[in-house]
Amino acid sequence: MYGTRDCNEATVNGSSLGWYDRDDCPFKWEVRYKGIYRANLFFANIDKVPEKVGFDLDVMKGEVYFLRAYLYSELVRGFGGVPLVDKVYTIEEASNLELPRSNMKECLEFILADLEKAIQLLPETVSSTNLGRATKSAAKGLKARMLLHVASPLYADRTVNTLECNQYNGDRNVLYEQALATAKEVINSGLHSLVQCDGATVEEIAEKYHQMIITNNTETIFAKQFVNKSQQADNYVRNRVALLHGPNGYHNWAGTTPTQDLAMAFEMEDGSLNKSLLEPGETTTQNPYANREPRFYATIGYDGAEWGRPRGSDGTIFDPTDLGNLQMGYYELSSGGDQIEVAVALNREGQATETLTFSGFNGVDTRKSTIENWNGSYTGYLEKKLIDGSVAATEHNFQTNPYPYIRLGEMYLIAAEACVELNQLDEAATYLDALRSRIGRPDTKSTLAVRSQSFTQSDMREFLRQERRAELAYEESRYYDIRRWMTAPESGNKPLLGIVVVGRLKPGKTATLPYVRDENTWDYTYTVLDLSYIEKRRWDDKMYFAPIKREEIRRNPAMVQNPGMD
Amino acid sequence: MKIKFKHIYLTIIAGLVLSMSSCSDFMDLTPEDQYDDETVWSDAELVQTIVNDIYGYLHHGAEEVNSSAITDDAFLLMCMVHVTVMKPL
Repeated sequence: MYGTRDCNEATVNGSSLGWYDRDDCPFKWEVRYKGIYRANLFFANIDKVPEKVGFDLDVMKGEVYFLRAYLYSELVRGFGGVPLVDKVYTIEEASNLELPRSNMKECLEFILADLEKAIQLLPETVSSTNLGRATKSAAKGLKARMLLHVASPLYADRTVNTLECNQYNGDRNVLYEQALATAKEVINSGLHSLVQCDGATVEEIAEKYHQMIITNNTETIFAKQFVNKSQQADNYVRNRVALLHGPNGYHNWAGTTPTQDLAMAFEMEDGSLNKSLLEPGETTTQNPYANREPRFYATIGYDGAEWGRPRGSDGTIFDPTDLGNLQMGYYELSSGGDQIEVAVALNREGQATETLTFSGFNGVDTRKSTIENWNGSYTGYLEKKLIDGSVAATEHNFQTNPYPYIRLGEMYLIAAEACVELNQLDEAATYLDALRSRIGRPDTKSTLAVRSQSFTQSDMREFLRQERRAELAYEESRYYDIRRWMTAPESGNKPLLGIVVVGRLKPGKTATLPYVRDENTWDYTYTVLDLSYIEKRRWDDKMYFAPIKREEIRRNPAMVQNPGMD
Repeated sequence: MKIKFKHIYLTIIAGLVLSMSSCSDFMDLTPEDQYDDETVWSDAELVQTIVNDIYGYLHHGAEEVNSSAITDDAFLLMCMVHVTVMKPL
């Protein structure tokens, strides 16, 4: 009913849109065009509005130019070229309107023209009571994002990108140069700076990095602000992320759950990559979560991870810790346990082909939790990055942390990617080094060496893409990145994998509830589970460009559907 | 694209207070929770609420489905029980 499986199994088309028809799809057609209509209505009338003390009509114009550009940027990233509507039509005009999809070049030029006006009209900063409003930097940030986007390989490709309006025919290097120049303008503006996440331990660094994500700070360029009112507050102003995606052991819903693939993608403390535990049935007794980089700890909730607040009254008998330790596994007890059965291997239909039976208990954040056994994560992980774990999230209580639409970290990644593609590798390294050093990571060149890679364009491209995945996880970037890089076939064909964690008592050790993870008492085993029975993920090239609703095609004779989506 | 409308009424946005018309005149059909075109575009304060409203058409990633669930980064849990039991009306 969320339609995400339809997308991951590539079964969507113009009459069965899956997730693309949901309001939380960032480029849902009707919602974006409704917003664009409001913007056009504003422009049709703004010049007759009289001045009023305390209200700046020019700034309002700047805001609406920015917002219209933002709405078009979402449409273009999702669908490719789209019809450009820049005025309000009368009923008579509208009933005969046959507006075709403009091509990528025209769309980009339209977006850039709006952003140029926004940059002229918007202020450099806004007061603390106006956080969330657009600024010059927001417009520049969006400009850099879209220049990089359209410069990317997908729009120059003619093998899978076969529809004229989805192609870019201009000089891509010019776009990369403009993206670099624009990102540099923001970086060097003096208005923003990377939050330095210093700490004696990786946990301290991770905590500061996590705080950077969920607060307004020097890195914020454009962020959604929220209020904590009541259940009646609509989705535009309430941040339900903790309720939607937090642990079931806290009565949250574990909606977005990290894959095994992402968990293992974060680099190790020394900068090396550890591509193990990515095959179903693969097993280890080594803690795969030890010695990872800070962003792993800030992004992923894993077995034993601190969550942020004590358990509720139904949870403390299992987990007595002050800040709550996630129980994503199954643990043996010497007394007070029940006979439990743990599936450690599944076939493609989801039936257990290997089970362990012992006396113990099911971790409270698993799908067999005695607190809630219907909301648990299948993958064995929880999303942590956008969530403030200290908030007791319910339908009546939300966290009010902002959501970062655009932050300075992305500008460093844009500058670095443009430099890599322009083969200015030394300059690329300076941006990557800045982003890495603020979380205590080794520099680019020495990290490449640790990975037995060299300072070449192709190795740097791979390095940049790894860095972007780690830095912008869950910030609405990956969906577009794997498409524009054309790495989506590799990403989309990966089977869905999870982890099952089992703690068995060491010989001679005893344990009763409550449980606190301890490697001196338990031997832990981590086994990769194939979750293909829930979602048979496969990539189809038609998924590069989202399907347009069939009604929209019927209504407008000039409208063409994206390839393979009829 | 076909945009159809007769009159544009803009729903009231939080924080604004309307001057109330007489309650006794039941034949006065001017809606009290909406503004007509002319009123809105003659007051910059009302126009600001139009601008504020457009911000709401931007999607944010802290919603129920994050687009990462359509990538190798995440899986979205979607069992029926999850929805029917846990989502109040």
